[in-house]
Amino acid sequence: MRRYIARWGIAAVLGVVGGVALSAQAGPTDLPKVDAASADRGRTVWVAQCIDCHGSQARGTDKGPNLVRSVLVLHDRYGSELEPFLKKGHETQSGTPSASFTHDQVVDLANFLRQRIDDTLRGSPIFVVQNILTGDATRGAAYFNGAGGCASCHSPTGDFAGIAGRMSPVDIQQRMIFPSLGGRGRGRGRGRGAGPATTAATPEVTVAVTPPGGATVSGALVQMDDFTVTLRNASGDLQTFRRTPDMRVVKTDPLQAHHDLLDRITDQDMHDLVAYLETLK
Amino acid sequence: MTRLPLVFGTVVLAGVALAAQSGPASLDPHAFEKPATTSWPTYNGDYSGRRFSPLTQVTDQNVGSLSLAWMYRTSGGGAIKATPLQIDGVLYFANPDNVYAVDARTGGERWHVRWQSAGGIHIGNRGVAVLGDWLYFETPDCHLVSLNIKDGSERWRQTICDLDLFYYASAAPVVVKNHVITGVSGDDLDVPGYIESHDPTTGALQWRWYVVPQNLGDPGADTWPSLDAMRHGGGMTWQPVTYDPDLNLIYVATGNPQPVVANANRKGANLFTASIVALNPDTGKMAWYFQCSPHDTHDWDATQAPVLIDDVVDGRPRKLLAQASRNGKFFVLDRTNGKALVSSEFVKTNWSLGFDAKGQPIPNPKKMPQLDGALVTPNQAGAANWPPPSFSPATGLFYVSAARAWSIWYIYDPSDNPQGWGGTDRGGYSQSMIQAMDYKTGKVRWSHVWEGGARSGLLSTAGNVLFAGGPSNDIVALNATTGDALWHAGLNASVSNGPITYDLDGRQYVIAGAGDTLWAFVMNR
Repeated sequence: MRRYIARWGIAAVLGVVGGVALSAQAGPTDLPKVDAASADRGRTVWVAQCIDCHGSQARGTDKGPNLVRSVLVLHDRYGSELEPFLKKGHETQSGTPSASFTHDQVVDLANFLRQRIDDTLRGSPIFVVQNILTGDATRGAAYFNGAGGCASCHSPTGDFAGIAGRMSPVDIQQRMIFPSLGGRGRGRGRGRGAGPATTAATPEVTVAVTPPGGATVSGALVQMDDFTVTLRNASGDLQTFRRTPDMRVVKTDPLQAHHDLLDRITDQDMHDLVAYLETLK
Repeated sequence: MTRLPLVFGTVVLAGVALAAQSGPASLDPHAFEKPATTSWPTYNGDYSGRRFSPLTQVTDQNVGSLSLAWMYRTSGGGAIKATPLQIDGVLYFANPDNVYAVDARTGGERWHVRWQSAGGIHIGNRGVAVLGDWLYFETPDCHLVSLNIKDGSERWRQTICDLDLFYYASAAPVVVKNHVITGVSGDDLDVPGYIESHDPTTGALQWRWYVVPQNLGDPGADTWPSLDAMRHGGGMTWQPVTYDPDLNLIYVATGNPQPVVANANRKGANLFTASIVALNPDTGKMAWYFQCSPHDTHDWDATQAPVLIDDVVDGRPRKLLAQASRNGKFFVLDRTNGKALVSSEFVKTNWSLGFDAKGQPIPNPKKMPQLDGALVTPNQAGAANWPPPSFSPATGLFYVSAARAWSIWYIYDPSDNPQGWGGTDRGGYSQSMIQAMDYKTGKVRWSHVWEGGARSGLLSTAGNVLFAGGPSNDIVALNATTGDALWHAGLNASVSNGPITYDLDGRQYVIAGAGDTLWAFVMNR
């Protein structure tokens, strides 16, 4: 009970309850936190004693098992499981008896291994997009000016002048395909760097409402469902209408051409376009 | 039992279990075969997964008069993703680390239990099961717990997964005869999924069925490249099972394989991930399987509800099973043997090359995640997800909260031995809708497209009403035959669970969770 009260007291001080404080945390609350300096020291031990069998990332080789998936390693807390195991004696590549490893060396190894585990998780430093520049810029230019219809709204000497200097290739790709999100990723598993560094504003969706027998009112769409529609008119005022079967409501999305493109564009077209836009330095 | 002082009406669970008390240790296998009217006794209302109520007080003609009865705001656990059970006038539901008992007529709190957590992802809890005087729920830190429904006092707790391996528990247990069927969650590390059966009285493990083979030579092992790959092949059991008492089979929908996205080290179909599997609830032995996403690479678990439909096909009674799967495909199977009768789409997708002879999709390798990105529909969230669908025998329509959604899928780890996820999707464009499927043809009968995002569980009734969460933080009633919008009521958040209905004192209630609040509507006379 004492243990419980102590934990609950901390939660109360932080103003969090139940799952709120824990929602982003996979694994137990006492998950080991990696000491980077210790992990670096552990890497030295690893290279000298372990790497031949367990591999550079501890994912195993033909000579030794994967330790990222090892239950013993996953249960370990700063050497709590690893040290008794090594004390019993385990083959090392240098021939040094594993039982002779100091406590600090074992803790260093534990930190190194925990770092490898953490590296497999979403959001880790190595959970990042690779090189996506695989397309053909010439074909991309042709698509831009032809089948893609891009040139009807965009210009390499206008809004796209110097775009490659403002955005990374993956951000160009995301912004091009999903302009309404600004290319920003959502949901589970996006991990590090999911949102591109772009500040381009998303064009406004507008709506025109014509009540039965009344005049058409237009403005920026604020909210619409089956029952009501709200717009911001030219004066900046909000107007809400209750929808009726004889009310005419016309929504205009300036990004509709992009949405329509989703069903037409091929992956090759997409990669070629990015390659072309990447030439616009 | 040692009980800590009440804190704001909260019962805090301590580690000392109550001695077992008397109570039914087994459930009549036919108990929840048909939908109840005065209760909602199990996750889907009955064992079929249809979420259809025969109540007719609320109809497509009078639903506009549905009025607010009460609201109950929870005090911990985040959004209500659980489907409440209603038994003897009390609603029982769970949020992560929290269990609530609420008066079904007034919304008054009967009791609230808070669980002391040791961790785990608190993404949601789908709900509880009840057998006699005892309630069962799962905790994010890998426990199955039994409480007394009268006061929330603890009877026993059992560990059902290993938190250090990044498992957690979020599923709603389902009681079948003398079995509490429990699933497990977690896909951050490469661990095997499984489903378990526990003794309702003691919590003791009765059997465990691994979704992925654990030994060479096991069924399905030939669809994995190595022992290591299949032993760490994922396949979580996120959702409650459905059950056919006549066949004595539970239907388990299984999760995606691991590593989730990068897949160089798990070539093959990766059975029995992303599948519908029929198990004997007494033994855990598999009767048949159908794989909805062979060699999935998009996080498309197939854990959407396997809904049981009885019909006459080609002049003879057929026991069917329908699923609108996360990958956008719609399947109707013969639930006696798993043979596909219908394989189609409930939204347009671009990731497959048709269906094989078994009716299973054939994945297009070019639409698997790529280093430079592959534009794929659906996105990671899927064309459908965990919110439960509904089937109305009155209209013959299968309703599902659906999305036409796109994203670009990347491989982040190009090595030959990726771990965890090794990639993901980014970006997205999505259009939400309710699709009403003719299960006999696999075609969309009507589509109600939302202005904005909406994805909730669904409820259909014999009053020709379909209840759903709308895009404006509202609950919406649609005409179940046509999809026309009939009524709505604004809430404090999007509907976050599957609505239920019941009759008490001759009044039909409709209950929905939205964010941290449970809302009750009633047809006043």
